[in-house]
Amino acid sequence: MKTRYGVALTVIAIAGTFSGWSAATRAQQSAPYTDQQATVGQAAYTQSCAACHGRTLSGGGEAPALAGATFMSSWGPHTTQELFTRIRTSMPPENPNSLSADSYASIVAFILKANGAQAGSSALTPETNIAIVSVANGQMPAGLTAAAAAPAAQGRGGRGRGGRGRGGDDDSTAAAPARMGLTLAGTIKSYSSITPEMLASPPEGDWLMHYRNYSGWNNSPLTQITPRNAGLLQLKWAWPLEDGMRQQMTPLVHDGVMFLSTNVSNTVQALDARTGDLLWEHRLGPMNTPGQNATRTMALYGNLVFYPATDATLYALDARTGNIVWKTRPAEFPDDKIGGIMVAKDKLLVGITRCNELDAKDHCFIAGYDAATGKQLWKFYTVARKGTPGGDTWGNLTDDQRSGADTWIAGTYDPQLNLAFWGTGQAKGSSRDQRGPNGDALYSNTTLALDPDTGKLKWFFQNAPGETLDLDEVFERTLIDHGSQKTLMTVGKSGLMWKLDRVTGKFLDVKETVFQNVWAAIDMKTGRTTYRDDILEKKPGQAVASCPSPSGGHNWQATSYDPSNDLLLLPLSQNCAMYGGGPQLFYEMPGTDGNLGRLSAYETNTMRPVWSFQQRSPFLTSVITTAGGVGFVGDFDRTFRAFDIKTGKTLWETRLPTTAQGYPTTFSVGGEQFVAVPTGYNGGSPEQKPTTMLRGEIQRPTIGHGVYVFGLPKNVN
Amino acid sequence: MTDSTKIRSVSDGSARGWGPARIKKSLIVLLAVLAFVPLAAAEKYQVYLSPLPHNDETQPLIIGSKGTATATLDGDTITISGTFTGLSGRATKARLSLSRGPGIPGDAQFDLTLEGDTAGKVSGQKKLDASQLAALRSRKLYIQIDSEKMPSGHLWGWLLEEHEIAGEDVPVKGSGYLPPFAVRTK
Ligand code: HEC
Repeated sequence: MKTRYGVALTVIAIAGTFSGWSAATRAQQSAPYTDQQATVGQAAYTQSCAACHGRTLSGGGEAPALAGATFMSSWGPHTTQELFTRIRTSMPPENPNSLSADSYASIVAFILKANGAQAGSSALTPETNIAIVSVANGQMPAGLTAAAAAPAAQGRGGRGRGGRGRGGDDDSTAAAPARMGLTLAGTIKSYSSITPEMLASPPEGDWLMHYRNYSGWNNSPLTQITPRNAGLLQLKWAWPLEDGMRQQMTPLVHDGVMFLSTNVSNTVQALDARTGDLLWEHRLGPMNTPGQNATRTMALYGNLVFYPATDATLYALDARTGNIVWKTRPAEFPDDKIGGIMVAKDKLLVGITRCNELDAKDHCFIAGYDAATGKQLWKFYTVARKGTPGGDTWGNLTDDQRSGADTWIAGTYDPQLNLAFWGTGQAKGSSRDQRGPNGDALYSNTTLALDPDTGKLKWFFQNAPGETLDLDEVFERTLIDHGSQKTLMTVGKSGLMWKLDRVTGKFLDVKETVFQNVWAAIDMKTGRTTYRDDILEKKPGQAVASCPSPSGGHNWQATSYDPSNDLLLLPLSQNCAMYGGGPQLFYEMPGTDGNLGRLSAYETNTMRPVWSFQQRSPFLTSVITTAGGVGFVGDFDRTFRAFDIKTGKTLWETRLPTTAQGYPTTFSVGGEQFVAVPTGYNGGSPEQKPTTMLRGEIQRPTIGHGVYVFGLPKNVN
Repeated sequence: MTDSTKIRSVSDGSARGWGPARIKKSLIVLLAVLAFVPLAAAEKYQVYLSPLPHNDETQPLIIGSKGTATATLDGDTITISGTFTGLSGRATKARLSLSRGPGIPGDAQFDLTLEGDTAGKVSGQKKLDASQLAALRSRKLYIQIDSEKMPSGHLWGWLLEEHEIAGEDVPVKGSGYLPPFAVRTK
């Protein structure tokens, strides 16, 4: 065993030296593109690609870097024609082949230039077919992308077009330089200030925070909707959200006021949660920030509503009027984004993501703020640097080369222990052969227990040491007690469902919830996982099979815990990918009979599976449960359904305009229970992989973002 | 533990009933029955044939294609028989391949017989050697069918133990079928 590991490490070490493309001093011939073409390509790139792949081509979220060692290790062996074809047939993801062949060719020229290829005298054409490694070295010419910053920052970033549908050229509605600012001032009178006590024990009818309670349960004590009457649910009101961008938000509700946001224009709205009337609207801007990710979380505290804008400005708005009370920019670098946010007592905790500027002094962190004033109190960096605890787990990498461990998902909180629990994403470069000879890469893919007052790390448990397949372990940490035993449960992208002691961080149990073939062994004493040999031995540019694919297993679609039945309900995706050798290739997961979606219920005390439910479409909303015995979930194919928590049986379902995506919530106003579900066409890999796999089979409109609110007919009950 | 205690106490209390000899005899019968069942009944495997890894470019070529097959192991002879439909081009080649496990591409072991065109049948019979037998039982064998349009693989599917097929929209008790993969060590 030991020698085997040694061999694997040597292989990795050798692979690591191979992957050092940028260091290679190979003689360079001039490349088949012209400088002028690359300039045109840069503009087209900024317009249509930068929103996801980053202005500096550094990648972001699911979108890989298009320059540097990472890009060269996967694309170097391929040809310019292969790159052209790959881009033309699949990018931008929601609208492939939407640019002219010339534009695509010029974008390829720009990508070559950004990877150090020398311009020549003949232009690149769709037919040009030359190995990328023969002309490019992965080193970006100084200043190349700096020049692009200004137009990108004020432009629309290019993402909107596809999102608004083919042929949808009516730019006047969503894209016009709409009136910005406080477009409707609010005068909400009956709004009670939210106290730490209310957060610890939320009023029955409210959905005060991302997961409804500190423990991350997505469970409501409301009982009006039951398995007997759920079949009568009907639409009460609906509200459109701007189309385009990634729409994955959570409608929060307090005192009959619903708070919504859309990250297309960074607009926050307050609505009457019973009638759907607009109470105030603040269009904060900017429009379509390049490199942006989804805005999943907002938070409430006192009379404030917190909104993380896509330019990484954190706003505290007056929940009654919409006025800005304070704002700050937690991120340190221009391309950083705000990930998850949460309030613990009187502290606002903010996770930073996409901290992977090419020139990287940039590291992700979680920051603590005084919620009332916006004063920053502490920062916890999620990458262990040399000389700090865990700092020796990154092999030879310098501090600047250590990247990732993004905190893109909100944490949970235990007021008794006074600990906040956050997960972190994968290390970057995301594969071991890109990181060079390395180790566990702390604190990537780790459960962190932090003191929310000081940011001090109480304990950590690394769920996926030395992760290499973009299988994050960043998702919600659910806090569940069994008698005196305080546990924490979480499910990562590889589908492992973990149980830890949340007082100490000790490993208690783990279980596979979807088929997986990446972990060859799991040590049931320590929870330490071991990869399949061929994954450890993978060389740059080689693809390996990964079940699940980087869409997860489990992803941001949060689980729900139903305390009355001790059931944890998991929305799961079942697909696999050939990963790491250029373009990802997707396929159905063995044993699933073609069902890409799975919803499973586990009894947490025993880890016993109680029921499961599979279908062709993956589930793209979180699951919520209610004390009435009814759960809710929405899917890719526009179905929103109510099901019996105990059996998984469908009680009611309806079709929405487009994919149900985001976090449903349930609340009551005036004694009436409602359920709200967001829709969103664009998404990350849980949405993009099925988009490829189900193309031509499932038709989805490319517009239709909104929130749909259901309730029972008046005469029921 | 409890069972043997129970048997002993019964035998202690009854001269006519479960004396040691009788227990031995029935154990032998029981063992014979237990041993006989798996030997006599052939091992059965089921295969769901689905498209090989694809992207936006190749997805139009694989859309709608699928198949199913069964495999029966009698002694050390495996018999495979299945059907497929919806290929975008004529099926050209079929074989049984060996991999590291479900969902991981591997290497061809031997050819299977193809009948039909874009829809058709796949079949074969072959004596497996010891390592192939072990591979079968650890879910490492798969069927692959190539087609004109997808010459390096159109459909594939692993030989998995018989299991309930997950019906779309039908909740089942437990987790449903989840092929095990990781070894749990302690
Ligand atoms: C909506 C976000 C988004 C936009 C806009 C977008 N991409 Fe992508 N791109 C992705 C994601 C996500 C992936 C990874 C998943 C995949 O392989 O399809 C990807 C993959 C790629 C890859 C493959 C990279 C690799 O290493 O495998 C290339 C090349 C690429 N994109 C180029 C472009 C270009 C050029 C544009 C503009 C014309 C563009 N993309 C627009 C999200 C985007």
